[in-house]
Amino acid sequence: MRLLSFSSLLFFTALLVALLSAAKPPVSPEQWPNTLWIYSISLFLAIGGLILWHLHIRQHAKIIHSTDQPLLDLSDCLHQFLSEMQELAQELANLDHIGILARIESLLELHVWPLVNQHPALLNTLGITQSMQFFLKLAQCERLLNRVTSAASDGYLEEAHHTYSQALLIVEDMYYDFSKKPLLEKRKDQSDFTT
Amino acid sequence: MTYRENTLTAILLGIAQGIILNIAFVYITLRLGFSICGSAIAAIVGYVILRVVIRNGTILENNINQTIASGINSGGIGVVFVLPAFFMLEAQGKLTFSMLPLLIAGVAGALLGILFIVPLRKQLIEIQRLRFPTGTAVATLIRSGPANLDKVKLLAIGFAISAIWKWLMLTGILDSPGILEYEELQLHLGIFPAYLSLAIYLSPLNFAAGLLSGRAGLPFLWGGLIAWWFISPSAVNLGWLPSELDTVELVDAIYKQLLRPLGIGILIGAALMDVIIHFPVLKAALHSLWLAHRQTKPHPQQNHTHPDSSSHPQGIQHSLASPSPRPDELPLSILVPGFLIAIILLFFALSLLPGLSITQVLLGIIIGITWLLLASLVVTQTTGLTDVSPISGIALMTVLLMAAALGGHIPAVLLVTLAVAIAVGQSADMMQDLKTGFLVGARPFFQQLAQLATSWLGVLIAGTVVYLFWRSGVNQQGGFGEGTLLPAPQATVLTSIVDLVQNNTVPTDKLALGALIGLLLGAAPIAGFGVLIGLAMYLPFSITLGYGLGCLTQMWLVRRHGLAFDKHKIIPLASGLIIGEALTGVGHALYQIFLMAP
Repeated sequence: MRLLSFSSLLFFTALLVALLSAAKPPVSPEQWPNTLWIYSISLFLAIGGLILWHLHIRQHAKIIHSTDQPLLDLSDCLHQFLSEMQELAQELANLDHIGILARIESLLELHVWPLVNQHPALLNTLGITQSMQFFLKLAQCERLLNRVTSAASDGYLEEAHHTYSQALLIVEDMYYDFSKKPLLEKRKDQSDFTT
Repeated sequence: MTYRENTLTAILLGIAQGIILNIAFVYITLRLGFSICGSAIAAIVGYVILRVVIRNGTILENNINQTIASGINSGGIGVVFVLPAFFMLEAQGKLTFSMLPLLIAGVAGALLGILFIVPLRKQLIEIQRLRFPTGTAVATLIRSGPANLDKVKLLAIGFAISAIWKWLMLTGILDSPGILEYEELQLHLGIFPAYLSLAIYLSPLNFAAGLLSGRAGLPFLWGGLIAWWFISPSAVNLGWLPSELDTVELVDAIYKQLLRPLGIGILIGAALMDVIIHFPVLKAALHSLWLAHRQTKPHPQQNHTHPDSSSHPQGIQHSLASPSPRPDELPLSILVPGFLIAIILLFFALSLLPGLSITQVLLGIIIGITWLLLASLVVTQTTGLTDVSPISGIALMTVLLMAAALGGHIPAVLLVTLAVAIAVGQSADMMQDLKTGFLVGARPFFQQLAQLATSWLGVLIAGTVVYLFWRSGVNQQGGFGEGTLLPAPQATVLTSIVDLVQNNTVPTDKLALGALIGLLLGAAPIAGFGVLIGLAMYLPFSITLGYGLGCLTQMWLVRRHGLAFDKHKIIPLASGLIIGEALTGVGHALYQIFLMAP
């Protein structure tokens, strides 16, 4: 935490000085302000602060990785999300458009948006590539749920059901890819799927 | 029953509305110097025609309608910013030109703007989750209906408050010299010095954009505070500005000579760093396009149903175990040839200009397109974060860059500026519409294809309208410009930028030093930080302050009432505020033009 305070403070203070020295108008006929040397020094200091800041974030991510806590949370979140999606899949055919809208709204509110808000934490724990794949799938699922809402509002219940099934598939994928489900079990499921 | 989305009705309605909006807004922009995004108007008209008159129209059809209409309209905004400058400079004897290369370059710009931004949809909307306030507002509008009456009520309340407030502001009833003028409330109270720029822009739209952004938009406020409460007083107290300037001149000098060029530099540096940082996402986006391209080819394993489909309940059948054969995004088989065609068009347009060597043409293409791509990203990001497009800053940079690259060949410089202005408008509009599409669950492919297929119309229509206005003057010229009914303020600004470049008085030191700072700010681990700080320095503080108050209000409300309050209450209310002000602004502009014209 100390490193974070120091690095960000160094970064912002140095950048403020750099900004101020960059703002000075050059004295004619010069092209550059005579504060250029202050600007250069502060820019180097800001780069130092920025490197320390990123180092701190990386260290913090490593600590979180070693405890595995957020992955456990993600696993739980995805399990609950999938359970509720499957539950709704059972009931969807019996719901009218108002009922569908209410249930989709609830899914978005309880599961999708809270996960979207975990962006920085998941970026730190999953890394750029994994978190990017996770959020792209989550966004795809959200868009499809939005489509379910639109279709249900317009009275196209068949389209709503069909689109919902696509969203459910994505959540299943996410659950297998990002939860802590043992790899063996995942492979077994996948071989079940292909036979 | 197939869900109606990309129907002929929606396409024709979008084209018809786009043409009408384009002509009207070209006139408004020539007359008043500003334009307004046409999405909200197109969505309202679409709502009435598709859902009330035709009755079987759907939300997604309306989305296609507003995408096409705003695409054609925004093509005109780029034209009206740059094209009049050609006529005005020709009248001053500073250049000669013909329309054909300009229209070709304009069409190339429109294509490039769309084709470049399409692969970035996932990064900007799905990963970075940019808010695109107008896009969000339009989505709330087109989704409104009896099923979500609470949100419709809030939308209507926001609309009414905003429309009444804007009307009061425009009539000037509440104006009081020194306190409330030009929709700005002065907060100096006779105590604080003018260089602190203590004023707030009383725009519900601006406040609502902050409400929609929340914490993510807060660096915009910090940028304004750094500019006006740190740099400005320091510059004055350190004696960096001439002492003979009066208060108004002093504030003007701080803004135009120090903060604005620094802001443009920071914006560009930050956007460049953003490209570098998000390279893995860009790579993944292109990779997924490549995969989609390969999967469109016949494959033995394609078309199998989901093996688990039997376990799904009645009415829920899986048909997508393998990726959908229908692409979600424009495939590479359209993007790559489209890009090549646009480059060839731009090459052809530049080749038609007299006095330009082949080396200059190639240089113009390479530098122009590289810059166009970066500028498109800058404007799309600022639009996504704040709803503001720093188009004059982009024009300044384009003129500067191209003048250096093309050795001061002004027609070529302005031709590339025209392409860039149109491209950035198309990029921002495309992404704004894709945000709306995301929120209503539309397939991006249809929107991207619809805008790509129709936006060039906007360039040709606006070009023709500008030409006709010019020829409507005495001796078939001088139909707009200073001293006429159509002063064309934006083109006048552009001609003064050309003068700055020709006289070599561009503040290159501020632009370069700002760009380096922007690179560092863009690398800070805070999303959108550099772009927002740069934009805040580029804009007047009154706008930044109003927006920042919106962000702080949203944060306070979410902390007090929870995240759901934001989705259910704040977003519909803010959407109403945005649409109310935009429509009142258009109504007032038309009133000024048609009823108050001398």
